[in-house]
Amino acid sequence: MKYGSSALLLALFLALAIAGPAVAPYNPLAYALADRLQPPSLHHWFGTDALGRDVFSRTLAAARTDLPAAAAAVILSSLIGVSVGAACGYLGGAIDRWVGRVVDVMMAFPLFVVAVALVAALGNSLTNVVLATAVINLPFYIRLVRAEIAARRQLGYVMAARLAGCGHGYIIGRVLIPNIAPIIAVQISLNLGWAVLNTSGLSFIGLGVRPPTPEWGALVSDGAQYLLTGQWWVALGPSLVLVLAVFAFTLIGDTAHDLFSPRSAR
Amino acid sequence: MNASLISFVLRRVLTVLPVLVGATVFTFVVMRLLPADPAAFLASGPGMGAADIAALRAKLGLDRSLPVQFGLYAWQLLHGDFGHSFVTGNPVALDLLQRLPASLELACGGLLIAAVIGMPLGIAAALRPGSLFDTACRALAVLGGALPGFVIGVFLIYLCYFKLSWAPEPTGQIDAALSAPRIVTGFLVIDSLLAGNMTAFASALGRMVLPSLTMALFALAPVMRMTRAAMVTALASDYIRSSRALGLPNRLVLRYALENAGAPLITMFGLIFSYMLGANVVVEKVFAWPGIGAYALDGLQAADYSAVQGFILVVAAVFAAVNLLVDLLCGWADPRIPRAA
Repeated sequence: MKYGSSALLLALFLALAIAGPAVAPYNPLAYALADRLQPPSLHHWFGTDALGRDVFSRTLAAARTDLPAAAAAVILSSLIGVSVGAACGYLGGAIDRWVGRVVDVMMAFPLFVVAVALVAALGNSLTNVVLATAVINLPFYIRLVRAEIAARRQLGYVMAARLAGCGHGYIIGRVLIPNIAPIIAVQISLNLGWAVLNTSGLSFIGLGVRPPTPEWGALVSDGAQYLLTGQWWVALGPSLVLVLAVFAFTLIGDTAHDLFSPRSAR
Repeated sequence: MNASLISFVLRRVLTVLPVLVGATVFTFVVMRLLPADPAAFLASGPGMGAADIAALRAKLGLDRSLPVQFGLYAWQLLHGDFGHSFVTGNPVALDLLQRLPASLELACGGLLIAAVIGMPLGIAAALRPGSLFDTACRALAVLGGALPGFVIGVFLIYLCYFKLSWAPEPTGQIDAALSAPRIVTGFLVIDSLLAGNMTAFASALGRMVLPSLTMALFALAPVMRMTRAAMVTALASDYIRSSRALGLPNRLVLRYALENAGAPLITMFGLIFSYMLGANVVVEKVFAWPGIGAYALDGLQAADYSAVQGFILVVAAVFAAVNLLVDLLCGWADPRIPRAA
């Protein structure tokens, strides 16, 4: 049941992100001042915001901002993190020690603060939010892959490959990494959830997307202003969808973890 | 205090130096090198020409070589000079020092609530692994991990303040009409209690509930998960089996397991505390809490780099101090940890 439900949730989100504009009942950017701050109804499922924009359509459109941003960040950090971690774990020595030290110092900071600082310095844009998210996730990949590769580099099949005359690049890329691919896959799916949390968290505090662009964190931040005057729906819809999205990714990661490591599954 | 303990403490102090040096390098690179040209930015007002920019560059030391710039920067930091904030007009070090207790108070409050709720749940789950209760706790942890802090905070305010009027207004640490007590510890709740000012105490405590609850929900899932893991490990060990075989009462067996899970639990709290320092930024914004996170965000929006840079350094210093404390407490909780290492 768990496998099915997590896969179903993910499929739902992907479908919504792809088909978003086609199924959205309204233009997410269109003002309709006559319909401002309407509570949820059959016409406006999540209600309307202060400018009369349909919150449901905006939440749908936001999936097209958040999901690609999170995916881009995860692809970037997994590519770099796996390469660096593999090199460290395979080669060992001085490189390994220095990278290890840098990773330790990085992990020492509250990572959300590092992301805030990076976006502040690089400039306030969605691209830089993606970059910052990628950077703060790097240490996790480096640590994981380094440890897994280091534990395997003296195993029989690696020795055999070496005796057969395979180069170091071939052994890392075609022998070792495929062997730890499931472990990396688990990390990637857990990471997607964090990346969505991070992107929306940065947007909530005003970093990343520019106002009319719909984005989950920005939508919640926008709606939060109307909570204290009783218009709860402006924030509720995007909040629920955001939580559901992160939950789906976490569930997938959890499921993948159980699938790939049956011994630790309880 | 014997000599070996003192040398152990000194060696531990030395191990946090790389973190502090790393933090200094990081802020130098991020805040001084990445922004296109701080001088051009600062001098971008009307009536500022190329000559003004050049003068400002010379004043900021931006015309020197990079190592010299870094040296100057580190020298200033060593003298407690974090620069001036042009938002508040005060030295950044002074601003941060005034706001740090508010942030720490929030993080401590959140951690306390998370520990009081999460640890018993984690222990109970570890006692019956695989049971319905264990599964429910795990599901709760996954769900808790998916809840962003700002969503929790925003809806707690709506529910508890707007709908039910249980909580006071979510604006800061204490009712603006009340005078703050004399600063002793910097923690408003404790200071007002020390001063015997019950109105101030009630107001400060009331305003702490919602933000600390938000912080606690952040930390609850990791506290529960890690307590469970530490207890499962401890309960699976030989001495527990021996104690059970000896027929010791359950209460005593549980106490032995808890004592042995002590060191990993202390490490866990250190980790979560540093994680909460990051979460502070968002929670302080939601609750208009006058801490260092809100200060850094204000600085960020005004491109006040000194403020942001000071914030990062303070967080790194607090983190280093917490790690040091964790190391020392672990040595105390688990005598097997060698002091010579």
